[in-house]
This record gives sequence, C-alpha cells and structure tokens, in this order.
Amino acid sequence: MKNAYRASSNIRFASVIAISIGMGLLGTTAGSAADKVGVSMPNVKGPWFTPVLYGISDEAKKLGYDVIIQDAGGYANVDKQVSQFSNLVVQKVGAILVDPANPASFNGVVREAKASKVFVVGAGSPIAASDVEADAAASSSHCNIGHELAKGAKILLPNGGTMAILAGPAGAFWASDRLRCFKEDLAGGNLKIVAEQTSEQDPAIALSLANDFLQRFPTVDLMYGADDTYGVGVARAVQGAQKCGKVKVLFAVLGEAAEEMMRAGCADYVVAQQPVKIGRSAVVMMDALVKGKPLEKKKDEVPLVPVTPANLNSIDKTGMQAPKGWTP
Amino acid sequence: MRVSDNPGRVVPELDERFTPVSFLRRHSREIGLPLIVLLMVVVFSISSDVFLSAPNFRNIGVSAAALAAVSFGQTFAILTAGLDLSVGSIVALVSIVGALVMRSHGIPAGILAALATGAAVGLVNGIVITRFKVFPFIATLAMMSVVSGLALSLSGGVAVTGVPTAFGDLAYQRILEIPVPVIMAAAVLVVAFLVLRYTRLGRRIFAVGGNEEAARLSGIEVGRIKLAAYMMSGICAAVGSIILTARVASGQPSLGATLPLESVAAVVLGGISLFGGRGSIIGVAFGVLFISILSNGLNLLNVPSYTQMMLIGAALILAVALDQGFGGGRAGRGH
Repeated sequence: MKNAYRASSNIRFASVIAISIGMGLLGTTAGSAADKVGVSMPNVKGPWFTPVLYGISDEAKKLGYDVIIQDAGGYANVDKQVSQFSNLVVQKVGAILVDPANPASFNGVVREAKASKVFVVGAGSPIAASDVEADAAASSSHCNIGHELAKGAKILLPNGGTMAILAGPAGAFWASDRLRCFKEDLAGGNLKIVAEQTSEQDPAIALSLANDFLQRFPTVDLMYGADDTYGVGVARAVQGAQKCGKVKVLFAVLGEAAEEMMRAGCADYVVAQQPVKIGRSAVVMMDALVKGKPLEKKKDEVPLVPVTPANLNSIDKTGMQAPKGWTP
Repeated sequence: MRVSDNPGRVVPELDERFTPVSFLRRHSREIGLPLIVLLMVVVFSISSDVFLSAPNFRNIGVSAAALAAVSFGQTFAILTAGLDLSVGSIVALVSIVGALVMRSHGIPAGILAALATGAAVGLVNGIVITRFKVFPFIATLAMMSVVSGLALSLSGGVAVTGVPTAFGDLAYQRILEIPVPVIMAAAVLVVAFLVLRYTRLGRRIFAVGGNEEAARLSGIEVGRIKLAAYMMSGICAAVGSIILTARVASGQPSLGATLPLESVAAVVLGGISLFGGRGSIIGVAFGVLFISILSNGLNLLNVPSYTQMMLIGAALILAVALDQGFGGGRAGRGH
C-alpha cells in the first residue's frame, strides 16, 4: 500500500510538472504564414546583433509582422543554426532573414526554403549561402570593412610600425574576410603583423588575449580587433597597461562600450557599420518580396562610417545603436 | 491469495491485482521513457500546428541522426564503466580530415579516412586508459583538448570548403521518404544492437562494466575489451561527423561542441548505468528522441534559447526522477 501510495504521489507530482511545462509552453501566436518572418542568427547578444535585431524588430512591427528569432548560441554552432533555419521553413514563415555563421553550410537549407516558397534575405551578410543566391541582402561588405580598417591603420601609423591582430572567431567568414582584405591592402608596406590569434567572441577572452600580446610585444604600435567585442577588450587592456594613445586601437563596429573607450582616449579608429539601418533595410526588402512588389535593388550595401575622436560627437548614431536598454 | 465464498475460485488480494501503477513499476525501465516521449509529442502537437507534420518529423530525424550515432558509440564506453568526453572533438577532427581528403581524392576515400580517424582517436583513448591507467574522465577530457587543437591546426581555424556537391546533397536526400542521415543512424543502431546482444564482444563489454575484477578472474582480457569499446565510440563519432559534415557541406573545425554533454544525457536517460554493466541500446534511442523532440518542440514554440537551456535541464531531471520513482532502483535487463 505504501509503495502504491508513493508511486501514485510520484505520478501526481510528475503530472503537475509535466502539465505546468506544457501550459508554460502553450501560446504560439496564431497568424498566417505571410504575417510571420523568421530570423536566424549565430548569436543574439552583443553590440552587433542587438542593433541589427532592433532594426529588424522595429521595422517589422511597423509593417505588421510577427518576428520569430532563432539564436544558435555561437559561431561554433553552425549545425544548430542550419537546423534552426530548417525549423523556420517548416513553420512556413513568409521569409527568413539570415546572417549565416558560414555560408558554405547553408546551400542545402536555402534551396529547401526556396522550394517551399520562403524568401531568404541576408541581414548583415551580403550572402545567405555560398552557392545559392539570396532573394535580397542588406549588409556592409566585410571586405570593404577590411579595406577601411587598412586605411585607418595607415592614417594612425603613417610611418609604419608593428601590429597585433585579434582576428575574431575561428571559422567565422565575416572575420576572415575582413582580415584578408585588411592584409591585402597592407601587403608590401611598412606595417608588419607580429602576432595574430583567433578566439571566441567574448570580451573577457579578448581582454586576456590582448594583455598577453602587450606582455609579449611591449613595443607594439597598433592592435586590431575584428569587431567591437574584440576592440573593446583590446582598448581595456591598453587602458589597464596605461598605454592609451601610445598603442593605437583599431576595430570595426561602434557599440556603446566602444564609444566609451573612444571618449576615454583608448580607441583611436573605428569603422562603424550601421546595423540598425541594415536590419531595417532587410525588413523593407523582405516586405516587398512577400507582397510581390518590385525591389529597387537586390543588394543594399549600407555605407560604412569611419569614426575617430574628432568626429565622434558629430556623427548620426541612430543607424548604429539600439535605444539604451533595448534587448532582443 | 484468499479463498472466496465461491469454492474453487481464488481471488487475488487487493495489492496483487493489475493496476496501472503496478504495471508501470514492473515495466518502468522499458516503457517509462517512451511514455514520456509520447507525452511530449502530445503536448507539442497541441501547442504547435506544424509539429505533427511530415516535414517536421523529417527535420527531427535529420537533427537527431548525428546525436544518435554519437550516443550509440558513447554507450559502449559507458557500459564498460567509462566515459568518452572526446566525442565532440572527434567529430570536429573527422569533419576536417574527411573534407580535406574528399576534396582531393573523392567521397569514398574521404569517408574511409573519416572512419579511420575516428577509430584511431578511439584507439589512443583506449591505450591511454588501459595501458597508462588514466581514468577515462581525465583521459578523454585531455584528448578532447588535443584533438580540438589538431582540428583547428589542420584547418587553420577556418572551414574546409569545396567538398563534392554529391556529398553535401546526401544530407538532403531521401530513400522511401526517409532522410539518408536517419537511415545511417538506424544502421549504426542495428549494428550496435547486434554487437551488444549477439556477439561475444558485447557480452564481455557488459561483464567488464558489471564487475571488472570478476571478468578478469573469469579470463576476459579486460584491457582489450575496453580498447574495443573506445574504438567503437570513436567510429560511431566518425559516423556522426560524416552526417553533420554532409549537413553543413564543409569541414568545420568546431563542429559537435555540444555532443559530449548531449550524448551522455541521451545514454543516461536511456537507462544505461553510469557505473557500467547494464542498460539497453534501444533505451538510448529513446533518450536521443527525448532530447531531439524537446529541442525541436521548443524551437517551434519560439522559446528563447536561454529559456530552452533551463527547460531542457528541468525536463531531464523530471525524466530521470520519474524513472527512478517507478523503477525503485531495481536492476534492469541488458541487451
């Protein structure tokens, strides 16, 4: 009797938990396929993704769309992002806005999406897959970012010097593209790379790596960060070593923390993208596709803005940053 | 039993009559997890209008296939009272090696190289554990780091693209409407089942895990059996990697990062004892289904990934607690 009582109380307890989980999970928003748009990103956190998602969410809300955001949890989780993309196709969304961790991995699922009449729009990436054309794309060219960073390096070190590179996450094509074009522009010149390392996109890891570089190369002239997660880590390391202004700091993307470091005199040149504008543009193009309207252009290359302490206060940042406190 | 007023008729006492609870207690290990999986299917079918559809089930199957292959391999290691934490990095290394070889020498050579790499890493794991007497947890944790570094070195930290298109297409092809990756995982399941149930190696794996000293005293070469178990784990991880590499159509140096934890979770959920020596590979298949269906269902319901992590952990605790509650700690049957 005791055993039966214990077992039945276990059943009741387990049922309550199961039902609670079930009830907690209920509440899918009902809506037609055309009202839903999917977003597939490697990450949703950080100074790049937050403003992109703000731009997407805000513009999509104005146009009457429900946004389903799928986050793979990191650039290393390429297979997870591919699976999530497939899930969005199954959910029969009208379109998918995607920033692929690695475009070579998305050919199959983008083909599946097109076969299911789901539009695919690059958001923050000029391509959705390496061999299958996206229906539209809004981004800045990563290679152009690399060219602008090289320009910045030459401005900061007109007489040449040594550089240490925080190259970004291993395997992330956006980071490798930027660095490739950066190096191409500097090849044969008087700027020499003395150290280069990839690492996880984490500010603490970037700070630690930058500190290691400063220890190993105390006379390094410039440090490069693939984006502002890395750049801010570098700037903080330079600040900690009391070398602001002596070691030049150069990176892409102007988030709030990057702006702070520039005001503190520890970040010298930032190639700012306009992620909010990119997000908005991707949604506008998506809306045109879904409604069958003609597109003005299939690829919107959103301009880059070089930012230095001289123009920091005068540039328009509404295209670069989400409102303070906004989270996806 | 007691004799009723009606002579010749024996009436069972109240406790011995069939009740759902007593039935569940008697067969908890066999049907506990399948019941939970069924419950999840019902809940998600009610909550999402696309869950119960052929495209979604195909998605679940394809997503689960790599985890399934890796989990079946992990089963061999855990049955010997060990653990293989290097499965994730084996997947990454095999992905790179397979892609590099495939690019230059074609698909069959690439697949052979992939399987050989998985077996080689498994062999090294086995040697470190049996010859150098390093605990499996430490040995495979260290190998995880070594093999990850090797994968990143070989690839230069970037994806290896240019694999033959036919290989990438494998992940999206179907035979009789069943995705090829699902068929591959099912094949691994069948082989693992046959090995564990019908071969001497399988019986000896259970014996070594159940009581290593007794196995040794009865003449079983424990070292060789463990070596074989870790090689099987490595080969199964290689199959998982082939599935994932086809899915992403490139060699990825950081593929499979979540697989060590997920595969151990699937194996434990499936009823394999972490102390070795008992459990069922069929249970592991249900463990894989549990994780895959839960993840798919939560994605369809647009549950944020951070919330998913909490829910998946809570669901795991619930499933194991239910199993413990009905099972009452009795030993299960192994096959």
